[in-house]
Amino acid sequence: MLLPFDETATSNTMTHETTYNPKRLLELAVLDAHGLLEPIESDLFNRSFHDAPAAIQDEIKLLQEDLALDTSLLPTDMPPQSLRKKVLDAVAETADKEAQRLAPIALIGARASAAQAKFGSSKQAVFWRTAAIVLFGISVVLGVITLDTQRKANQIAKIAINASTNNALFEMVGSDFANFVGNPYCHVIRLERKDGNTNGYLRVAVNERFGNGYVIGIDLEDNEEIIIQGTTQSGETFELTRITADSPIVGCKFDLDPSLVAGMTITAFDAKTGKRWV
Amino acid sequence: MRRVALGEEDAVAELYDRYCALVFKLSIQFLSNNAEAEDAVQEIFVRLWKTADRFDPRKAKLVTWVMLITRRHLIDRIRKKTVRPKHQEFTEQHEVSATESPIPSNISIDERNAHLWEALQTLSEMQRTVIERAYFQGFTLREVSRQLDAPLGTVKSALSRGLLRLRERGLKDATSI
Repeated sequence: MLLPFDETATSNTMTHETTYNPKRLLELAVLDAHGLLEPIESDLFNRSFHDAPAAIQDEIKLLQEDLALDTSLLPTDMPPQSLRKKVLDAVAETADKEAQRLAPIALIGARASAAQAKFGSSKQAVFWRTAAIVLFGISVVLGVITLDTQRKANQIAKIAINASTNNALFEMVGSDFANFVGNPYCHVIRLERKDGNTNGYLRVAVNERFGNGYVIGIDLEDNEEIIIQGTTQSGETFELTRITADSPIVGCKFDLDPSLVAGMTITAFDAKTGKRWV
Repeated sequence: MRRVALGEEDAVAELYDRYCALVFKLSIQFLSNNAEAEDAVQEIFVRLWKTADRFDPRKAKLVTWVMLITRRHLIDRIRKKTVRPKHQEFTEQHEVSATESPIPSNISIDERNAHLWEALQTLSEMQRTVIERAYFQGFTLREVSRQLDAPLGTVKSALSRGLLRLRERGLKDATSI
């Protein structure tokens, strides 16, 4: 039933591996079934098991079940009848201890009514209930304070980031950028990667009256080269400009014929990979 | 196991009735003493009750889970019970043969374990040594690897193959009876 082992595949230590191949997984399944894997290895084995093909998972389950059920080399002794009661008593005793330990929590939760029937009138129950209400009140107040503080911190951070971004932009494309974007003839579009990668984005601003524009790239991948292109209403496509991401914020100014701007679709693509931005 | 996790007494009893023989036999094999084995069985069922919510039926059958917890518990018990030499002491005392056992095996060579003992003798020296040390003496695989001065991967491989060969041997014996 078991696949043959490959000596070379099993001779490596596993500390640097992130997942196991099927042969190794089957080998480790034997050790796992015997409780011989250390916790960290056991976790890795479980992750690899979940990532393995269904056929391998079935194979492992069968193998481990066979190993668990194998009594051929075990002694033939049977447990004495008295052991059943001892085991059930031991479990019941542990359950009682756990229940006592968790009683205060249970009073707060869904079993409150059941617990109330048992402990309802005791001073201890009243104490825990009061403590729970007080703690709940404190946690709500603290939560509100924390949220408010976080909101203010975010606002400050946002202002700082915007200021820093604006400075970087002004340095790159000139101080008239703000006026350009504020012009009523200016159209600004945002481009994102079509493949679902959410890293970075492009902003393209075009003035349809004067025919010039700006492109800004924020948080692009290192040295990524992007070509910005426009497609006119008649279907003609041409390159507007290109930028290379040599810093977190990149940008440049470009010119184009104002007669082509009306109805123009602007897209972009990676100069190296051809992946599109829309 | 969901019912066991919820603390239903009937479910624990049902679990005991289904698996007590397996758990007891394995405990006897590890501990070779009825009283100790009975104590271990009680502790194992308590551990099963405590960890019941971690059982994932998509990953393993119930019997696999029960025996895994049983084996882990018995190995833990042996580790607690046995004073095992540290690596340095071990190498100083056992320079003659790395495969010589650093401490006596917990499995007694009596009639009760005769089949197991015979089956162990059919294995290669490496396989027999790693099974005795890791499985019956409670050494970690890293400790065994250091003791034998063998790569961890080789120890794991030998252990896995040895355990499978033991199972095949056991099945062969069972069918020939």
